[in-house]
Amino acid sequence: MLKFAFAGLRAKPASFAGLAVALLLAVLVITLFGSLVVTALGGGGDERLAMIGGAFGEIAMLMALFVVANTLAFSVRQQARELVLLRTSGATPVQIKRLIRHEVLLVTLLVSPPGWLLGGWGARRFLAELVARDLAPAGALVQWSPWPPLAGTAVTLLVGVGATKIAVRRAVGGRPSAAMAQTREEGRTGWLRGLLGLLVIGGTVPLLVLTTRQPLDKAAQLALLGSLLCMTAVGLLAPVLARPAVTLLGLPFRLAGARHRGDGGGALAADNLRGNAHRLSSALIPIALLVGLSTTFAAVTGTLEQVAPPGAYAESDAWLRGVELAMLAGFGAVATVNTLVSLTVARRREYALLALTGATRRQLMRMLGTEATLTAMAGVLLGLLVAAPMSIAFALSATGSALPAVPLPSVGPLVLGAVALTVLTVLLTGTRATAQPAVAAAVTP
Amino acid sequence: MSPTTDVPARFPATADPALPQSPNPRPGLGLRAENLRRSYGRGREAVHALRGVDVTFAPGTFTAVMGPSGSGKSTLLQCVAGMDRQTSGTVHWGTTEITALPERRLALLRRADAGFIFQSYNLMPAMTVEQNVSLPARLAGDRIDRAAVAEALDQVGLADRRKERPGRLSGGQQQRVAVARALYTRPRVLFADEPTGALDRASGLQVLRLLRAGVEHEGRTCVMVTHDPVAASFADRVVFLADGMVVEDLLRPSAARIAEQLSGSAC
Repeated sequence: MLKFAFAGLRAKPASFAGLAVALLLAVLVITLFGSLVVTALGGGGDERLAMIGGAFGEIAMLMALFVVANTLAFSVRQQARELVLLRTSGATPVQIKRLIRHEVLLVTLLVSPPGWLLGGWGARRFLAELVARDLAPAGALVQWSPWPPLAGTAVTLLVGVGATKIAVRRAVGGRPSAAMAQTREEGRTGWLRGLLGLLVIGGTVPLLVLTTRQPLDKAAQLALLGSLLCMTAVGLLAPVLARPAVTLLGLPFRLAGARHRGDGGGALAADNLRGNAHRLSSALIPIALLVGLSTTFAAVTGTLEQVAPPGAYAESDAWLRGVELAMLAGFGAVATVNTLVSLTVARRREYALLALTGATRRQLMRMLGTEATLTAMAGVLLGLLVAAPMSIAFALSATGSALPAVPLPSVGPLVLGAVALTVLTVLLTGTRATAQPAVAAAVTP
Repeated sequence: MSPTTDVPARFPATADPALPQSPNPRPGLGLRAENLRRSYGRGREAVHALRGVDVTFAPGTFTAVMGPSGSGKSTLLQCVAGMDRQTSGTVHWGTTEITALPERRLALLRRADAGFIFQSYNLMPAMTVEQNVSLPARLAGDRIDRAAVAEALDQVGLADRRKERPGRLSGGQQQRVAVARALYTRPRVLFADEPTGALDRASGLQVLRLLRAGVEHEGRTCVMVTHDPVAASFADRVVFLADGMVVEDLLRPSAARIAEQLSGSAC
């Protein structure tokens, strides 16, 4: 299977690009924050450095897990037809799993050296900034150790192999032709998935209550953890939530479409999205993640700044929060771009079909643009839904009022950025996907 | 009259005298489907693709399955081939009830006994022609018999393209590679879903002759879904489906008789 994995990687390197970036990020952040912790433990820093490295590392690893699982799922989906072919040629489910595992192994090993280098460089830069802000003892230097890079690769491999189990479930469960059909048609939302989603929501309730009764620093950490949990619930329930969200947001477009007859771009887009709630939900999840986690973070930070006695909340603390926010946003952006590119490219035949039935390129692009805008708005809506409960719980704990201080200067650009990223990614990918002659795209598999 | 005169002249019924007349170590498998039903969706929206099909495919015979689109012919092929799961009913390959097997056991059985040819997209794009032909052997962990790969490619007239990747071959050539793969593993049963659907006439005839030869010389069982009367006339028997049920079963019909049946069922 290692040989097959090699052949696949060599023939279609582009389809592994998203996965490679996600795995690179995972190796990078573990190496970076691992180096800081090792430096602190080795006497090169102090307790605070170990704490900063640990806290950052924790969040980074959770995000890495999410993004790797997300990108791997798309990489497997892109190979769906080849996997069916392998199965009809006699590959067992175990062999298919092994093939995907070997792909993950190869890509991880490939991105490890650059991940180590970038992680090491990042650690030195980060420590220098910390020293400059008096968050680490003066003169502290990153101590070299083989463990952080090794841990980076090992943990990333573990995460990737774990994610493989989830990603291949569809490709090897059931008979091969059914597996192939699932990639083409709209899948049903499993009741198990819905039930799990409700259970996770149930699980956040005690966490909410707990958050309101904790000291500030604990509550802040809990709030972030809680919104990750909310995010998981939204991820599970997204296929159910996606349709009403788009129906609501798409209303203006449908009305506009009804008035300008013959245009149809907007109404077409709204119908397209509503009719394909499953695909839409895959696009919503990373956007909601990006917006939800960052907003929670910004709200917690904003509320903290509000209640802290003057001077106690130093500029350096604000800087730390900013870095953490940037990291969250970075991971979210990688997941968003990867998901949208995969979804848009996968619809190449659909665009070709529209073109053959008389849609102009302009109409196509307008449809894509409207779809992307609607998708982004629905994602933002879900993201704010994710952020709300934990931000409110934290505000109750900090100020006793249910109104968190939401710093608009950081949340505003985030939301706008998420929308812009979505629309730009879809339009750029769409331009490339519709560049080849329609007949060729409709005929080639 | 000798019994061979019953057979139309277009395919020789007796084995090639040049071939050794030893007993075939891998005789064709008999297939049997009983009361096969397959529906998609539930409740009032359910679509019934198969509504209780009983059909057998005798060992070493070539059967064409025909019918208007939506008649359930591809669904029947996929259920009989173990590539789709029926809603109810059973499928036997020889004495084995494949509908009762877990996916892993079925995968091993497929690997050992069955070959598949689809209308298009039969080949792994990342692999060379040669690697595609030996793919089942590699999956089975068998040693790859290079001479046999070369022979299979020679039989389909592609010996000189063995290092090429599928992307550089024409549709007809790609389909012949798929046939070569089936020749190489010597499956006891071959399932083909519109194998000539995407091919020009000459390439189509070439593929059909290769399928026919497998039945003649190796006693392979072959089941082929097609909508082309000419393709179906290569078979020993044509089964017609309409609305998820078998409506006609003809032995050695001519292309004209097949066309007549098709136009009749279309009305």
